[in-house]
Amino acid sequence: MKEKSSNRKIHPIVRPMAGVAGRTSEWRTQRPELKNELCTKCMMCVIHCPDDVINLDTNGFPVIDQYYCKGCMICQEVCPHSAIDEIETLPGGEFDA
Amino acid sequence: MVKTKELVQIETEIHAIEKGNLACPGCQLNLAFKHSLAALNNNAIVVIPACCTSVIQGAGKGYGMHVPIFNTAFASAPPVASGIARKLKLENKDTQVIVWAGDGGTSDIGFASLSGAAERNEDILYIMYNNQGYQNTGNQKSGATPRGAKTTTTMTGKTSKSKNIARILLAQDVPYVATANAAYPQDLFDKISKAAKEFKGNFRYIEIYSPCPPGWNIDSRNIVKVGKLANETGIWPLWESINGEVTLSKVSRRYLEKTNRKDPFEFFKLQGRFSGVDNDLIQQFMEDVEFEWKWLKKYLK
Repeated sequence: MKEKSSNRKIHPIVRPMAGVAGRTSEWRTQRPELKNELCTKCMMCVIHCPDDVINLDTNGFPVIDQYYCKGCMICQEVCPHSAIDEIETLPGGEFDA
Repeated sequence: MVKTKELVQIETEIHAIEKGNLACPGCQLNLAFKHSLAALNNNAIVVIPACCTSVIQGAGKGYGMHVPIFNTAFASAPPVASGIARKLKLENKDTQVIVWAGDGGTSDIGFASLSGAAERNEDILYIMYNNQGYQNTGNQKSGATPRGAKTTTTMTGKTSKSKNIARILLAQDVPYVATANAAYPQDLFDKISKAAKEFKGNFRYIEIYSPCPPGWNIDSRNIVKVGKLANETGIWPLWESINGEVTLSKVSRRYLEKTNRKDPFEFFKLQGRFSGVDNDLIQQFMEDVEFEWKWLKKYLK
């Protein structure tokens, strides 16, 4: 760790970057999982996702970034077709329980 | 009103906020920031006094937004923005100058300078996100906390009425004043782009209702439901005022009639901050809501 910090360039201007809080999925205790076969692409989950972790793939289906998703489960609540499942995760948020 | 598909297209192109910032799970202010900056096409300089957003933006290595940010002290946000706006005017640039402040920094600490900037009619878009308390420092009572809400400084529920800053600024003849709600992104997007495009050169004020999961003691999954219920029960009516003419927004027009409104009990039962509060206080809070509607009806055409 010490070597790293001495090598780091200190710059007075910080730049935009993803993950200023690290891997934020480690905060969560449950995660959303989208079932594409039930999805009608109504985009409710995309416009209500507060962390902008839901993007679109080439076919126009929403894709959830599981690395940064904080597990607030708003997407499951706003989905009108119940296309999003709630899956419990182990502490750390990375693996399913 | 902007179509949902168009909104998604704009937002997936722009990405106004970066993933993995320091916002709490379910934070509506983060969502409001995303929609607001998407409406401005990231062409803005944002002045942020001490508030939740100054925590969310980053921890030192980098920051989670794509616009230049000027962090300043509570009371000096509108003067700093005035200076930036005047310099941009000299250079003939169309960049918007935004003050993005919380309700404490607006209604309590920064109110004098806000009123001064409104009086000088500076070219600023002032956005206040209303999470009804000092949520950043641990949910203390602010001027915008509603009557009856429990905070760490009002343990049995606030006993005084909340300030309505939008109404105060309307009395100051601000050209564009609007209230928005983070649970209605299309409406919010429209209001921000209208304020930015049609009223450039004037002082503009928008107030965004943004429920706070830890502060209001709500399960984060119900947060959009609470935001929508605030509109559907008539507690947070959405309106805009253009040169003094007040109109109800499309999503709130239905709730002008009291019979169309939902039972406020649905709104209160989802929030821990209203649980166990004296019924008299809740009753007084509903009377406050009626008072706001009475005022609104007086000014509607």
